[in-house]
Amino acid sequence: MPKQFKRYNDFSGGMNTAADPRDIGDNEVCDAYNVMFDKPGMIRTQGQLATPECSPDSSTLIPLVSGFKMKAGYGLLTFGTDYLPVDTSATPYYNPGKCMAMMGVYTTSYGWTPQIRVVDSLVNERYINWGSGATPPTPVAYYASGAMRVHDAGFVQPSTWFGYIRQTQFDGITGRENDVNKWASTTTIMDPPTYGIVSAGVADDGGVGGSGTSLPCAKFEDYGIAGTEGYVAVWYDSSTPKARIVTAQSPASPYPLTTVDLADGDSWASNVFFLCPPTGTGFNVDVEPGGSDGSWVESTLEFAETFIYVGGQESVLKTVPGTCSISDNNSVVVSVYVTTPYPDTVIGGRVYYRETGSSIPWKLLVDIDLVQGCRLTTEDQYESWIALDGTGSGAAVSDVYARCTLTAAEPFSETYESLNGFSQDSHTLSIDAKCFCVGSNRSWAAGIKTTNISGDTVYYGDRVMYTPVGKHDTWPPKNFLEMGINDGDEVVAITTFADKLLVFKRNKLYIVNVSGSEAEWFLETQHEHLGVLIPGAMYKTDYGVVWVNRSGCYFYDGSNMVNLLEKQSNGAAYKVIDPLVWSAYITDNAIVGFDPSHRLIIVLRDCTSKYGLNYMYDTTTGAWTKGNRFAVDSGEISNFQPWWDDVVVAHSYVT
Amino acid sequence: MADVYSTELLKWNNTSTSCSGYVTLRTETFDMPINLKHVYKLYLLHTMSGSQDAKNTVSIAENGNASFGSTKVPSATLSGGSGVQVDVIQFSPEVLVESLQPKISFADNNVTFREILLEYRPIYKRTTG
Repeated sequence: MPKQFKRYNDFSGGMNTAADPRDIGDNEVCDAYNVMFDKPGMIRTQGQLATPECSPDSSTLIPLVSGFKMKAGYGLLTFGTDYLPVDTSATPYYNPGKCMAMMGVYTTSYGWTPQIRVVDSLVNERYINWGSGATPPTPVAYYASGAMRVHDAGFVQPSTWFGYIRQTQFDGITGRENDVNKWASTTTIMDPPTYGIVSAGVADDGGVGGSGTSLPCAKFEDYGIAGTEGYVAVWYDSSTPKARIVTAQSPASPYPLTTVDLADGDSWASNVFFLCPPTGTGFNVDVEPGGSDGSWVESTLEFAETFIYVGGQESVLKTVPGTCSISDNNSVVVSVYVTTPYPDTVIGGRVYYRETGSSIPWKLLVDIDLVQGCRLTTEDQYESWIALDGTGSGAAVSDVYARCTLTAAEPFSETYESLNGFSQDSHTLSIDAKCFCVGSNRSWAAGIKTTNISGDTVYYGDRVMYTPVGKHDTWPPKNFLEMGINDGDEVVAITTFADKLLVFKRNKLYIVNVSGSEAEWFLETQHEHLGVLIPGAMYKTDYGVVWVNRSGCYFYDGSNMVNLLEKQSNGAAYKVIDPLVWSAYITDNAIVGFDPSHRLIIVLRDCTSKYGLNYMYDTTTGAWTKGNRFAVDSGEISNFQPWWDDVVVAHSYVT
Repeated sequence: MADVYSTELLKWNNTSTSCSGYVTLRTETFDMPINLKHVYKLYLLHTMSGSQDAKNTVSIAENGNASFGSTKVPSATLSGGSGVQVDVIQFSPEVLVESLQPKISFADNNVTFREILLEYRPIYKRTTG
């Protein structure tokens, strides 16, 4: 018999460690290490880790972040923005790019401090101090609508908001303008007003008794003002307006408040004045019965205020001091007084009313916009702000006051609940959580730590919460789903893909169909043994979601789920990676990522290890390989994140 | 004194590079059950950059043996040079096996394997139990 040749030139099947070497396909290999099967007809050596460029059209590399440490498997978030730079080197402008946020601790030989570092694609760097103490946080974060929110899954450090803000409060009102165009950080953006009075008598038209520095308005004694808050009395006078900080007076009656000396012998008595709120802390609203040309019914009203933050997100209600008694067929005259500026993240507020002592829904009295003015309903045109001058003395600032006056001939039907879609009894809209994601134009959180209605801190390990559409900082207490209550497991990671919400516990996966309205959502499937141990063991790609655990490496495209350790042949599945080998290989700290330009799934065996052992799966050919090309000299690896067309990790090491 | 750290960002660069460690490849068991065959040569078409030394080797395992310790190819090093190289690994003497499994190892090289051929001749003799 003549000599023959056995030819191997199709290696597209990759590695098959599950089958007997005699039984693998002609295009498969029994074992491989540090080679790739991603190009037709060849086997080539693998690539390696490299420093990423700041952008595809630049050769500038992302710089080393000195003195910084991240926790293995956590802390890296990349996001895109239309406005750069993120640092203070220049005013941000329309300049689309990307940012890389690293969350961890700033390290010196004297100790560690929690910190967030943000590097943008222009290689500008910004740092944000994050809480206090030396305890390294376990960062989890999400980015939506121009802002990043960072939480500590260990519930030690406070949540931090970092985002781009562009607004000009009181635009066009000379001296009151607050032109905000910057990246700013704050611990939270959803606090209600701190101060504010809504009542008849907030403004006084003069003619009331009193003398010197005494404010001639007996109603103020009911407002609970201690005199240390920073309320400002503004004396309305066209030629010599004055502004003075309100201080306490003793005895408290009949004129419980006074101001600092008017300095030139003038008296508040018999003069027109307004009481303005402490700077940027709330709204003072003078509510007075108008003429008999209205359709209000006789009642005594109480009031509550809110702030509205960037993104049109309204805070919880804050009941404020003050009342107003009206008669049948009255109209109501509403004058809103402000002391500028307001916090950069505040864009407006609302004032609500209801009959004193009732529990009926809070109805809208006035809708406040810090740029455009005020209106009585959200359908009306705005009435513009009018500047109120007042020369300050001491702590009172000059000429930072403004007013907007409206007349409501009739009450309107908009309520806090109809405007926001959640209960007016929401005691908080803030949470902490162990994991977050964004999808379907909502934000989602799981493993919830919050306060109950009694003010006690509570933890719900099985709970998933969600924001209203487009309001990524608003977490109404009743917006939640429970996933297997009290089952000895807790949620570790969540993500969305298409119209599905994937909730990963340590041992179980829930897939919830979240298309349509909330009432239409339903639990589609649940799967034992498909959970993950850390958030970094799950990764969302453009094509679906991939995750790893000791039982396999799974991919879900929104409708179908496959174990990538198995292949299909003639309609039957067969394993290509030995399950015993895989389960021994995968550790508690295994993480997964996806290289979008080469469509590679990368499974790193242990992000706490320097050895960089990894499996790789080519999603085009379905070929597995393995190697150690993620090895580093020392230190730890963060989670994976996309960066332009690449996939990146952060590597922290002792210097 | 607390440790001081630095953090570097790293991306996955999929361009082939020389490995400082080792790369091992095993092809499928070359198998025609029952019948024995003489295997004479292994042809390896490849490109390579980097140093070429004795660490770039081909070894074989016979008849399903897990050990790649055959002395039939004691030091089969791969050749360097520009363009596609064809290395012919001569088994000396030829091996008489029912199956054969080659393993190709290299180090400090950026290698692309394009084709592997085994030259053999079946013989009319069945393997004995």
